[in-house]
Amino acid sequence: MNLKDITYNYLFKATELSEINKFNRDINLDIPVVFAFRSTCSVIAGIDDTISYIEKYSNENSIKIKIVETSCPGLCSFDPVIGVKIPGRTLILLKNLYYYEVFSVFDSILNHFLPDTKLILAQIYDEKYNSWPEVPDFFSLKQLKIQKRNILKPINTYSPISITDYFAKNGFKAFAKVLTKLTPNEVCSIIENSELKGRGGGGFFTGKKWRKALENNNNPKYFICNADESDPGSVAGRMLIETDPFRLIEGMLIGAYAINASKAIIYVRNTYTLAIDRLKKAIEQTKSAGLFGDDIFGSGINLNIEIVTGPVAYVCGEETALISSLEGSRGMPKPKPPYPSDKGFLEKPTVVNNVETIFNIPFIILNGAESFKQTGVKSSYGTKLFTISGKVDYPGVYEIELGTNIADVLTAVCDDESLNSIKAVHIGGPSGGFVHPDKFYEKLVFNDSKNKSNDIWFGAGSFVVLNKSNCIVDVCKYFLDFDVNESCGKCIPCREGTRVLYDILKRISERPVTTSKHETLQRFKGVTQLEEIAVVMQETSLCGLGQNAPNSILTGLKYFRNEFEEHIYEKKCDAGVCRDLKLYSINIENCVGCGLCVKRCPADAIIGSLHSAHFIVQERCIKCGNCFKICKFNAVNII
Amino acid sequence: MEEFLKNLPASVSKTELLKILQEFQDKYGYLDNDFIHELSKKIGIQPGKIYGIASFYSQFRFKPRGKYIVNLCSGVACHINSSENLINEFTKLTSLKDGETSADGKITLELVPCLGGCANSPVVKVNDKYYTKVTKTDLLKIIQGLK
Repeated sequence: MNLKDITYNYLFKATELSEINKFNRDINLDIPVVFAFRSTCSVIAGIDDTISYIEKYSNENSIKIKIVETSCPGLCSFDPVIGVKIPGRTLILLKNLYYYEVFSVFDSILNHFLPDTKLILAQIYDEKYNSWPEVPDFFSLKQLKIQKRNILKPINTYSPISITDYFAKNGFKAFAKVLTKLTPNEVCSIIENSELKGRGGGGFFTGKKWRKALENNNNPKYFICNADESDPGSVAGRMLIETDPFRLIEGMLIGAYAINASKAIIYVRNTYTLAIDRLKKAIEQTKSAGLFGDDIFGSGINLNIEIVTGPVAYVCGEETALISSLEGSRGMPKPKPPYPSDKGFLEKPTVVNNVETIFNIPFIILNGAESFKQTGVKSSYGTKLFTISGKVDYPGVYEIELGTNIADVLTAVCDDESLNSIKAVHIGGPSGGFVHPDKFYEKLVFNDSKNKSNDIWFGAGSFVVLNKSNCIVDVCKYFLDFDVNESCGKCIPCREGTRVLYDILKRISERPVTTSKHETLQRFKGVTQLEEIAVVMQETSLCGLGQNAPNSILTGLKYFRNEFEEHIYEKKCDAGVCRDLKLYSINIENCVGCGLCVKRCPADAIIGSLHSAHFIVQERCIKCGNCFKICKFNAVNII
Repeated sequence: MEEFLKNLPASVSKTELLKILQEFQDKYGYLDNDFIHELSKKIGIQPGKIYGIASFYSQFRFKPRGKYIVNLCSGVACHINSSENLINEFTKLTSLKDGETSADGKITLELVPCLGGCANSPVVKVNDKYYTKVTKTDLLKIIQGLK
């Protein structure tokens, strides 16, 4: 039987899965099986070395070990995570297993002894096998309990690049249902009823987009997946593709069918090497399974999927800019309307959906709109992926049910000590804003433009936790620097506005060199101008990048105004991040005139003769701190 | 380069321009000035236009790059874990700034918005090898290892 027949039997003849399993999963449980949870984040942490050492171990000791490459469970702080299943025992997960630990760990575990406790993450209980003593259940971990995993599997023991493994997870059943039982019109209605909102940042109803494109009869139409995730601090899209490339393809096939498109395009950032690699393999297999191409299983429908690698520009995450980039121009946004659903790629009706949005589609089709609406809260149904990083103990990609409050999320990702020192959370990357601890008990829901009281903007779902060692002004400056670099330069409010805001912040985070009137005026302008410019940018910029760029500043000013004022008036940075605000001076009473600091100063800013007190020339000082570090008499003060 | 141009199909639509540029860069490392001119003759788009499009995207390079490409991550998670100190330290040690290549053609420094290793920040990538939770001392060792 070839793959095409198997697919046909499985999808339309309702063959039992066991028959396919023969074709697919020949994992022999009589020998030890190692599951390598490999995704880009674990590659960064060094899982490849670990895998090669496991192979080495197996060769040197002539023990047969089967290694199955699968994808990451999303708990990045535990990377590299390795699962070991030895005959008769439950699957045990090991964390932070670096290559140099492999030999000792396998020596003990293969002999039914537990390794060092700091390497044990959890086990997955199964009644059929003996459990490991005193090892917690994976599902009882607090990092797992906070999550509602609808589109991410809690733990993947399946290969992400095998179509038959995907079949074993009910794969492509939703597409088969669409193909045989539903008209495009009905598919659009189901998605409309589910009130699914775009997960890329815009939060627009997906069903409405589809309906508009379906009703437009200007053929051919295009269905585009936006996988150009360029927000710093957000890797959810990459992780989804690496985990389950087939699910993305299935969602895209359904979407393309729903709007009568004949071509689907995945626009993926070219730096995502592993994701592209897995996606390409998945597309190849889907094609040889006959799930796309001409006349799919005799239904008369022609569909094609193509991957385009984007040459990296942040603004291409905006749908009209993405379309310009696909057309081979500079990726600049266009004014809307006309919306892409009327005039998009090559002037034809086009739907652009984010990876995470598309991942929700197969579930909705298979289980119906109502069961999708059982998760989440009113007007924000379903789950949302957040990439949690910063000053937390357990960073990673978390799938959170909408309506959960931030405090609960923080308790799950932090230990008590770091929980107490949290100063703020920054959600949404360059287009998002700060959340003050007072707001930690508010629910995470989609931002309603009419309801201004809720200013939490998800963006692409980056979730950065800041503590007392971080400076709010510095984080604002960081995001504006990013915006200045990434602004495409088409409209003036964004191009000039980001630069002016950045200059103001730069000025207030540096100590004024002179006390001239101009310099002082420029510093004080900051207070009056920051808000004004930010509001103008919000109202007049062409696309989301410009409109949302000042969000960080506005929320920063709203909740942490004192920190801005401290920088401006007292010329002080409490967190100690804004180095240029520091002022070094020499206390003449303590200084013995040893001359060490003179030798160490790279800017020749210290003068004085031997055995008499020295003096720092402020105009020359570059605030490197060398004199402070070298002085043995505590004569250098920092103000 | 001539061979590359020869292999191109006779008529090229504008939508394929970026793909051609990507393929060329993958093969030769950077977009040569001569190549842009020759390509322009072949596909009938002005060289200035091609340059304009290519320079918009951060993937494309116009100068040869060094043997070792050092990516210092300046993503938000790395930033709040003091990646800026690393960047300053790197510049101090090698006197290279973002996008510059050392005189002997060994090292190129490129800052990237996010490498996606936020849990192990700050992250440094040299060619295909990742270094995690890098400190200033680690950085010195990394640079000394680039021979």
